[in-house]
Amino acid sequence: MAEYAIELKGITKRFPGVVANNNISFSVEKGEIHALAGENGAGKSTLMNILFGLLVPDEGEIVINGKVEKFSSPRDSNAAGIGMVHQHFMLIPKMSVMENVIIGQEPGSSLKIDRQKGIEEVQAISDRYELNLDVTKRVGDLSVPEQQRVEILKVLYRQADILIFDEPTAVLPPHLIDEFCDILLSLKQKGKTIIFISHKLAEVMKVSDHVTVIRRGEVIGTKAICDTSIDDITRMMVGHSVDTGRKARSDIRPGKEVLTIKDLHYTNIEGNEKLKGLDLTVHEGEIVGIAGVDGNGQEEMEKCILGLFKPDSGEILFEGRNVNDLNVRQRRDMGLGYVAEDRQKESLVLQYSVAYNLVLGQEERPEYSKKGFWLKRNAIQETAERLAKDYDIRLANVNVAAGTLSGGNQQKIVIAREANADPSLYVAIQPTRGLDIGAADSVQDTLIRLRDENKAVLLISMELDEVLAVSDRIAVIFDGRIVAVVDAATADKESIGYLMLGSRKGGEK
Amino acid sequence: MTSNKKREILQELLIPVIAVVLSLLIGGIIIALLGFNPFDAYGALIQGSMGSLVSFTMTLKTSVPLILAGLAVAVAFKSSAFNIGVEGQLMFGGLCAGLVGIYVPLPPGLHLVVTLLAGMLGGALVAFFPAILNTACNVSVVISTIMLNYVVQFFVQFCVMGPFHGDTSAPATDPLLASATLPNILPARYQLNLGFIIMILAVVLVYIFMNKTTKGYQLTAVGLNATASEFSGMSVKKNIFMALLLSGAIAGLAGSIEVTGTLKRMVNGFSTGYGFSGIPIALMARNNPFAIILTGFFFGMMRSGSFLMQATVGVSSDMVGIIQGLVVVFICLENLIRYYMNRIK
Repeated sequence: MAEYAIELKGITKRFPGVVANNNISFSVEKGEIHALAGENGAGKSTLMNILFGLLVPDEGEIVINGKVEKFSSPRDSNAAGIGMVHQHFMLIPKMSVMENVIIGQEPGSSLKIDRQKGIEEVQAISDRYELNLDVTKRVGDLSVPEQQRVEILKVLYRQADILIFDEPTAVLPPHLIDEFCDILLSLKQKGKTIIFISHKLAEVMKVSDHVTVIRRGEVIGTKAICDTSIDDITRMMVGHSVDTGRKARSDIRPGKEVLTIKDLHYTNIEGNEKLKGLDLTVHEGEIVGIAGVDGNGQEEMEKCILGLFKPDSGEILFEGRNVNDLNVRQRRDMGLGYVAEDRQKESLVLQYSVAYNLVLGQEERPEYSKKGFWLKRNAIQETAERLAKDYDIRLANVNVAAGTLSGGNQQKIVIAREANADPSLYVAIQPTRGLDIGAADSVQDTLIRLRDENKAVLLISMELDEVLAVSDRIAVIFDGRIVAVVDAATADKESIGYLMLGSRKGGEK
Repeated sequence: MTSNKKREILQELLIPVIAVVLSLLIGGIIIALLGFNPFDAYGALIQGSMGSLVSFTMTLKTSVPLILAGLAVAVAFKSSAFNIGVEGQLMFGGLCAGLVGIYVPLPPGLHLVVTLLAGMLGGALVAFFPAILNTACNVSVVISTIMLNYVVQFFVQFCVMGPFHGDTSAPATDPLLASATLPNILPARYQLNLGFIIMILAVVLVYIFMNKTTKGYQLTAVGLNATASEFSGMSVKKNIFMALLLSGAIAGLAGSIEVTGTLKRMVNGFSTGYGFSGIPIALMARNNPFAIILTGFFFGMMRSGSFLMQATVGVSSDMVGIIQGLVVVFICLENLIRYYMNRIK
């Protein structure tokens, strides 16, 4: 029998209204690379945070190297030899690699850091694991992949034997992913155990020994890589459910084009091309759902539509008119409703009253202001009271601060405000994220109602089930392009799943 | 629920009061350590600032530039910009008002209005540079406003001592034309001039601007959540730019009232830290215009009462500087005060 580095037994973690991890059990052999795959929100991060000591499970036990452990902080998991390489680096740019690595465990006396010893030790680790870093360089001068290697170095310096990588390739440009895979293999060769979280299945197939698939907080299965295929894993990730819970709606009356995106290109500050010629059309009276794994260009597309990002090339047409040179306010005044992804950060002023939030962005329109200067406070109050009633926003009165409401009611403010502005195009990004079923349902009903009122609706969601339930057409985004557009009524979840993960149905092993 | 709310509001109001009490307490200990009776000292402070109608109006007059400086800081702060250049804006505003008051003869009434407007324009001009640097090149407002204070200070000194130096041995210009000075609103010995009314008007106008207009709505929204404001289509930079200009204009008004009302000529270095005092005045009042009247008056009391304290008890008038410094420290420790208040409950 193989020796296990990690055994998870019946781990359950509940958050208010949701079970993030439900009775999760699997084991990781010593010295293997074990991939953890699952859609966004499947519960991977919760599980890893439990293993890392950031969260305490409600039930279940963690066994490390045959010993039952209870972690209440990352300090405990460190002591047990577990280290985590975070997706978002936690480095101090102004300090050298060596200084970043030794922070918290500086060699030397408590008064003076022994820098020479630090440099020697850290350089030795870098050389031993072939990380190719000059430890005297400033971290701020390093490239992104090099910074990632500094994060690995930090974990190794703390003598971790079990390394958790949280979506490590998400930050890397494609041509450097092979190099990263080599590092993983070299770590394994030196006897480290690795948990590798990813939903890029090509990499999973390339480096892992086993893969465990999680869906909706439950383990679907663990397979040896030699016994499985990309298709097989995809099927496990998205599930076979026949009933997509499609929302009822009236027959589609295809109208004129409201949003037309032609050959859109966008390169971010880091120089990665995130949109590589994206084409998309949304007509009035239809909901187009964007299906895709996080980070394939959704955010860049959204912000180009809103006007916060300027595309490198390509066109965005709004009711036939090119809006490339218009700012956010002008686009909104043309009839763009926009439900941003992060309601607290991007959609609401939490200290403002609910009433004020219900007109945010529309405050200069004649309904709410005299000559664009004097606020019509009575009109704002009346509108707010009407919207609170129509959209079932539960509150004592509309003058309480928006920050005092629950997440679902906060989201209803945003949904109501953007719908009330009489948009011709309604863009909703992850509109039901974190909401309970009741609130999520009412948000989705609003989208359907807008469509029935002949508006064009664009829904961007990481949850395939939601896209399937709400959309009329589904556009699959992968690697900065729309790779397929299918009719939602006849779409099958599995084949969309393949497209989302960049493989074609029935693809080779 | 509502009684909870009420308690919360009460607690928030109590925090600045506690900060003041703690500062007076520690200030008293320092006075005692210096060998004076703190009760005598504080008694003289109150006597000197509010003991008679004359001293009370004197305190009111001293408070006017302080309140306006606090208002200037608050307006910028609402948009999240920290304008530490109020001192320089105030001095330059005073200079501009002074020059128009001396060299631009106009009919009575009109002359005063133009003089005050010139002062406001001058203050806004000084604020314009940090504002445009922030908008165009993302330069930190804190740093550019602080540094500009020195540039302005020496430029004003050059103007007053050089080309515009008056027929006097003092570091000052010639007196303003009578038509450019603020008339008294009480009998002469009370010294209170029209500047007081203008200050009240400014406070009310700022309150109305902040709470009743779309521009004030946007400015506050930008200060509270820049990202959401941007997503809703507001320009964050434009709002900060506007707030800084407005802040500079109010600072300029403070300087012009001092020049046209109290000094009646432009005096080099006439501002003894009014602009800097504006920062704790605004902080203590949580940027609420009406509360700024109270906190500004408190700082005015310290200033006007300190002379009697020095004359009768012998405690240096610089002691009030120490107490004001302590107030700033305790205001900044508001979270600590809140923490202990919650523990007591």
